[in-house]
Amino acid sequence: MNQNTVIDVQHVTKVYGKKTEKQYTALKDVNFKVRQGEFVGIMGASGSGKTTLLNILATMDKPTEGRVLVGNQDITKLDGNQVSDFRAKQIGFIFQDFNLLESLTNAENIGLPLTLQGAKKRKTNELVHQVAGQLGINQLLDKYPVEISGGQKQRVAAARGLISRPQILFADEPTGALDSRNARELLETLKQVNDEEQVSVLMVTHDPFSASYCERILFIKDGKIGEQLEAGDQKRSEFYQTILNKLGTFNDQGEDVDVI
Amino acid sequence: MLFKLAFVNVRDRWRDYLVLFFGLIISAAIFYMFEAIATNKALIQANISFKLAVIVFQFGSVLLGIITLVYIVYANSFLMTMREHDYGLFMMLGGKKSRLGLLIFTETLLIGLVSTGVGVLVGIGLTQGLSQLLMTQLGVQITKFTALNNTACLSTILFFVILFLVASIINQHKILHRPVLRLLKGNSEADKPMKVTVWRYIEGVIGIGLLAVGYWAMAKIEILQLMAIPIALVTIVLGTYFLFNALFQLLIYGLKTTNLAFKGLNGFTLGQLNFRIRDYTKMLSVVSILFALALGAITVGMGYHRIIPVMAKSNTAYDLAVYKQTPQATRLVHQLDLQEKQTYRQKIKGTTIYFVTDDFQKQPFEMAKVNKEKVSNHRLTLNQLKHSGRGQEQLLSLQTNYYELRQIKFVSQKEFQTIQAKPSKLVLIKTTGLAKSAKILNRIAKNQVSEIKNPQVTIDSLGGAYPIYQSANIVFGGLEFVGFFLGMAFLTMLASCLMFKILSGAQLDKRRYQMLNRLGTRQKLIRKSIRREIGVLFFLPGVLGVVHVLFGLKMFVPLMGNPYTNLATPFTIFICLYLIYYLITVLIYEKLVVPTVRMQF
Repeated sequence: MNQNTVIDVQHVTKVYGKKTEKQYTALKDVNFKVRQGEFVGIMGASGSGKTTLLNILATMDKPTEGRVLVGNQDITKLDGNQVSDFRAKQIGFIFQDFNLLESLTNAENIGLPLTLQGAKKRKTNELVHQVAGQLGINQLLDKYPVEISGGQKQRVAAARGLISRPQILFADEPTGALDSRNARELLETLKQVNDEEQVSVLMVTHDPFSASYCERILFIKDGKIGEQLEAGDQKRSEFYQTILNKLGTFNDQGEDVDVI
Repeated sequence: MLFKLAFVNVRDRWRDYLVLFFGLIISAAIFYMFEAIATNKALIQANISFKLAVIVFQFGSVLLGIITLVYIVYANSFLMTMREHDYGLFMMLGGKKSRLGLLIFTETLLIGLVSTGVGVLVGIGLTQGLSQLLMTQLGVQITKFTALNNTACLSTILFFVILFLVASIINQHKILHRPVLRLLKGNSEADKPMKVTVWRYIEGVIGIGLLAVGYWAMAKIEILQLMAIPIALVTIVLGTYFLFNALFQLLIYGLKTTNLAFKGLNGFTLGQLNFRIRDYTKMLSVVSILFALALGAITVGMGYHRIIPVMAKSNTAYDLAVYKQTPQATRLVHQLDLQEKQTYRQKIKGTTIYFVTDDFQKQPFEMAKVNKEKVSNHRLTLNQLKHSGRGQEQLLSLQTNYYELRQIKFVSQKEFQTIQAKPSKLVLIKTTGLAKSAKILNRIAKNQVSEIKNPQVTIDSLGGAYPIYQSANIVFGGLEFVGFFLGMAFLTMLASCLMFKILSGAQLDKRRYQMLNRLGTRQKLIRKSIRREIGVLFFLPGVLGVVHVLFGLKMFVPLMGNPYTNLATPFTIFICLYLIYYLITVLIYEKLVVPTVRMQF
C-alpha cells in the first residue's frame, strides 16, 4: 500500500436482507483510494448508496464482501474494543443533525470522545481549548447547545470530530441543516483544517456548492462509483460550474433512461 | 466525569422518568411500610397474636417484591429505548463497551438509589400516618409506635438495590448487543400495521383455550392443591398475551369494515389502535394481569375482614367469660352495651365441672349455630342442654382449663353445697357488637388474666368470642391492610406502565394530529378521538382483568365460603381510581398532541 493512502476500499459489496427474503444490493463492487490530506466528496441521489458507503467506512456497518484498509488495518475485521479505539483515535464524524447532547455544555460535548475513552480531565480541557481556538469557537465553550445557532452547533460538532486529531474526518451532509452563510463558513473551516492538519476529509453531500470545496468528487449511482471529477487547478467557482454541468448530464441521462 | 454524564442524563430526562419514578417510589414506600410493621418490636411485644400478622406482612413484601422486579425490568426497557440514540452516539464517538456498560450501570443504579431513597422517606411518612389506622384495624394498642425502623430501612434498600443490579445487567446486555446503526436510527422506523392472517384466528382460539385451562385450574384448587397456582399463572399469562395479540386485532379489523368506521374520526381512531395494538400487546397483557392482581388483592383482603365476626361467633354465643368478679371487672362490665348477661355458679373437682340446675332454668344457656355462613343463637332449656353434645361442648369451652375437663354435671343446690371444691361464679356476657365493644372487652380480658395469676393463662385462653375475634382481627385485619396496599402498589405500577407507554408515543402521534388539524378537523373531534383511543387502551386490559378476578376468586372458595358477596365496594373503589388515571393520561396526552388552531410551520 502506498504510504500516502489513508483509505483503500477494495471490492466492497453490501447486500441488505436475508437470503430467503427479497434482497437489495446497496453497493456493488466499490473500489477507490483516498490520499492523506485529501478532501474527497461523495455525491449521489438519495438511495444511491452513499450513506451506506460512509457507514461502512466509519465502522458503523459491515460490508457483505470486500475490505476497507485504513493505515494497514482491515477495519471490517475489527471487533469489540478495537472498533472503539479506531473510532475514538483514527476517525472523526460530523452528522447532518449535529447530534450534540443538549444536557452537556459545548466544551463537554467537544471533550466527550476523550471522556468516553477515560482521559484525564486536565488533558481533556487542554485539548478542548486548543481545538476550539483553531475553529474560532472559544466564546461558545461555556454555553449549552440550545443557546447557539445551527452554524455554531455544527462547528462544535466539528470540534468534537477533530479533538482526537484523527486521520480522517467523515462528514454526512454537514451543511444539510444550515443556511448558505453558515454553510460557507463551515466549509471554509473544514478546508482550513484539512490544509493545516493534513486531515483527510470524506464528505457525503448532494449539494454542488458544498462539493465544490472538494479536491475530488466520486459520483455514486445505483451502488456503483461511476465517474470522478478532479478540481485540479480550477478555482472553486470554476469547479462549481464543472460539477453543475456534470450533474446536468446525469439528469439528461436519467431522463433518457426514463423515456426509454 | 462519567458519573457526571450519568447524572446529567437522568436529570435531563427527569420529566420522562417521573411517571416511572412514581411507580418505583410507591412500590418502595409500601415495601418499607410492610417491613416496618412486620419488624416492629413494640408491636410484637404488645401482642402475642401479632406473630401471625408478621407472616402476613412478610408474605405481602415478597409478593410486592416479585411484581416490582417485573415492573423494574419492564420500566427499564422503556428508559433504555429513550436512551438508545445517546448510547449509539457514545459508541460512534469511540466509547468502549466496558465504559458504556459502566455508564448504563451507573445510570440504572442512580435511578434505583434515588427512587428507593425517596420511597423509604415516603414509606416512613406513610407508616407514621397510617399507624393509627392500622392499630385500630388490628385492635392493638401500643403507646410508642416508631415509624423509623432500621431493619426495615436496611432490608428495603438492600432489596431494591439488588433489583436494580439485576435490571442494570439486563439493560447492559440489551444495549451492548445491538448494532450502532440500529441504536442511532432505531426510533425513526415506523411500525407496520398488522395484517389479518389465519394464524391470528388460531392465536385467538389458543388464547381463549389457555385462559379456560387457567380458570379451570383456579376453580379446582381443592383437587389440584398447590399445582393450581403455577398452572393458572402460566396459562393465564400466555392466554392473555395471545388474546391481545389476536382477538382484539380481529375486533378492530372487523369494526373497520363496518359503517361505523366511516363516521367522524372513527376510521382514524381505529387506524391508530390497529397501529398500536401490536406494539402494545406485551404492555396490555402486563397491565391486565397487574389489574387482576391489584383488584384481587383488594377484594380478597376485604373479604377476609368480612368473615372475622362469623369466625369468632361460630363456636360461642358469648363475647367473654368473666371468672373473677373484681370491682374493676364489674365496673367495666357496667360500661358495656349488654344484650345478655348470665351468671352461673360452678365448682370444679377433678375433670368434672358442676353447675346448679336452678341457674340454668332461670337463665337459659345460649348456643351458637352456623348455617351457610350465617351464625344464629339458640336458647337451650336445661333438658335440651343435657342432651345436646354441642351445647355442652360450648359451655365447657368457656373455661380457661377447657382441655383438662371431661364432663359437666347439673346438680341441685343442696348437692352443689356438699361437693368438696371451691365455688366460683362464671359470668357470661354478650354485647350488642364485638367491634364496638372491643376496647372495653380488651380491658376486662387483661384484668381477668392478671387476676387469675396463672402464667399459662393468656387472653387467648379466656372463654368467649372476643379472644378469637382479637387474634383473627390481627391476622385478617393485617390481610386486609396488606391486600389494600398491595392493590394500590400494583395499580400505581400498572397505571405508570400504561401512562408511560401512551405518553412516550405522543411525540410520534403529534405529527398525525397536526396533519388532522391542517386538514381542518375540529378540535372537538380530535379530542373525542383521543379520549376514545386511550379509553380503549385502558378499557381492554381492565375488562380482561375483571374477568380474571371473577374467575380467580374461585380459588378462595375453600377458605372463605362465598368470596363473591360484597364485591361492589372493592370494585367501585378500584374502578374509580383506575378512571382517575385514565383522565390524567388523557389530559396530559391532549396537552402534548392537540395542536392549537394557530398553525406552526
